Amino acid sequence: MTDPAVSPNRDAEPLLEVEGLRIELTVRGRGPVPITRDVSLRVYQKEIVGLIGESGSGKSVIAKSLIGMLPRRIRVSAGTSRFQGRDLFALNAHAMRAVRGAEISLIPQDALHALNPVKLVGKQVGEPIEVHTDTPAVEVHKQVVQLLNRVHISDPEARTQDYPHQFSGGMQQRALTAMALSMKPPLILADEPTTALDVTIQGEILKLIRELRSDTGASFLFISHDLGLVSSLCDRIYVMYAGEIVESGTRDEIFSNPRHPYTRGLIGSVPRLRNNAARLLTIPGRIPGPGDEIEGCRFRPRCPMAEGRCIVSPSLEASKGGHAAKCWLF
Amino acid sequence: MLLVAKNLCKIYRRGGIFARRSSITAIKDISFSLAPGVSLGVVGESGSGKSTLLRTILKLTPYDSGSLIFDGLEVAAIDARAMRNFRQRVQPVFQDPYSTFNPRFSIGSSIGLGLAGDGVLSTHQRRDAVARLLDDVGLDPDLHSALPHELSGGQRQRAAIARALAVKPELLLLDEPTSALDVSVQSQVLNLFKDLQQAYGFSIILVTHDLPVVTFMCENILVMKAGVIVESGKTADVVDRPQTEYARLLVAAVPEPPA
Repeated sequence: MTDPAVSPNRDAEPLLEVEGLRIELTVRGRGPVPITRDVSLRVYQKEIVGLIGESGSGKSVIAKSLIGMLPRRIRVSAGTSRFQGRDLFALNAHAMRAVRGAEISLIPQDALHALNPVKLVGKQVGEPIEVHTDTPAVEVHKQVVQLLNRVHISDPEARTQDYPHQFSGGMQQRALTAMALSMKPPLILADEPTTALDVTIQGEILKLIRELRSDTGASFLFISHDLGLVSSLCDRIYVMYAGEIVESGTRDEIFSNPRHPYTRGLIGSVPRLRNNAARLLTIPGRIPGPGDEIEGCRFRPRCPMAEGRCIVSPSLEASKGGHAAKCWLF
Repeated sequence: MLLVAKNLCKIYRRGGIFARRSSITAIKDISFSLAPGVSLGVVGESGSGKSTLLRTILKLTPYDSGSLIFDGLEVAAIDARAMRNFRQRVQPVFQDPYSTFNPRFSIGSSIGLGLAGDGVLSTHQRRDAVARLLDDVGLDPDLHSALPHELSGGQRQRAAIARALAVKPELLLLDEPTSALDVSVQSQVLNLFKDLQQAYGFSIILVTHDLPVVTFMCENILVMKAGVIVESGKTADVVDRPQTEYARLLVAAVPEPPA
């Protein structure tokens, strides 16, 4: 991991810098409900950044907000997102179309449903190139074959003429990865790209992501609920709980020295391959919904270490190494 | 032994009148035995035959050859009359319990249906028994009258466990029971299985692709690939000293947080 060719450069300007992001859901007759609150995060060049959280924590909606794909009734109500000299949230629909797929692309979660069932795989993988450039069709096809080869699909020339259902799950995910790579974007958002896959195929996709980072210098924002996965892949990690980032730090800081009680609970609740205790750690209670207002720290009602001062919300305080936790105790 | 499988085979045939005949061997020569109160994990990837094996044990799918003996009884020979008794002794819990609950029945009445097998319970007694089961699986007894869609994923899985326990089974078959749950909920449900196993004394067959879940839950393990058992034994031994290339691959593929 200390190989300079692949290690991220955190002295330079961050590639992506999100500040104070608040995303709201409009519910009829109820006014706006915050889904994420004051989220700030950075992705540096050549960095694989993990965003972990349980369902409902708001992690996927952050990725969607960055490429202007929020569903109706969900909108960014505060915050900025600096990316290559612009604020992504200030772009109009036309300007966003130029960014999406070309400068920031997304590898979605459910590969089969993300592909058009009645269109040849080769056509779909080449679509970003066709949309963003005037490349002639013959040249697009050539690039598609290279891309499929790049993601280790064997006999890529013939495979361009297949329909999505003729691909296995792992191959569909590779095809989508190829599509996301087609314009060589500096930033790739990966939203749980391996959840539906077998573990050995998952391993291959992770290997591919690492390879792409060192070959193309791309950065990844890797969204997942799987701690094991994030810990084996990511350089730096943000932990989300109920719409907020509660802890951030390098992989080793988060896993060897977790500070926030939620992060600790999360790590302790995952069964390990070896040396499991007789019982797993559990976090009592349930994750609050987006609309649930909680006085002070949002984890307070479930926190085993909560005390009097937690009635006032702590800020995400960083120590000098950059390891930050939104908790009074640290 | 509670369950003994010997050279169990299942072949799916298709085609016939118009299409070319073809067959797929789903499981082949499966042999294992399971003692009362013990947990056995079955791991493998999609297409390894682990679901077929579960269906065979549940007598949802007939096997083609070999034998499967549940407490001295050949499963294939269980007739319609003995079936009711067999269904009480072997209970499944599936990945997504939502689809196995009648959406118009309250949670309490779905759980109570199993108790009806005894036939002699008054409404009042049944209500008490359901309340006890809900309590056993850590659900609020007030959820008795809730409908399935009103429960969270974790609560629904607990309700499914309560329903399975209502008939006091001797063998619980778990098919990816926590794959759809968040990690903090998964840990609650896994702990619950362990607690309940101590209290009720049933055996468990746990089918999953998640190897760490097996190492946490099960003393013994079967590793399946393409319908055959490629490796079996004590879980700790298989994880620490895998003998086959495939088991080594599976162990190596598990992404783990640094210790």
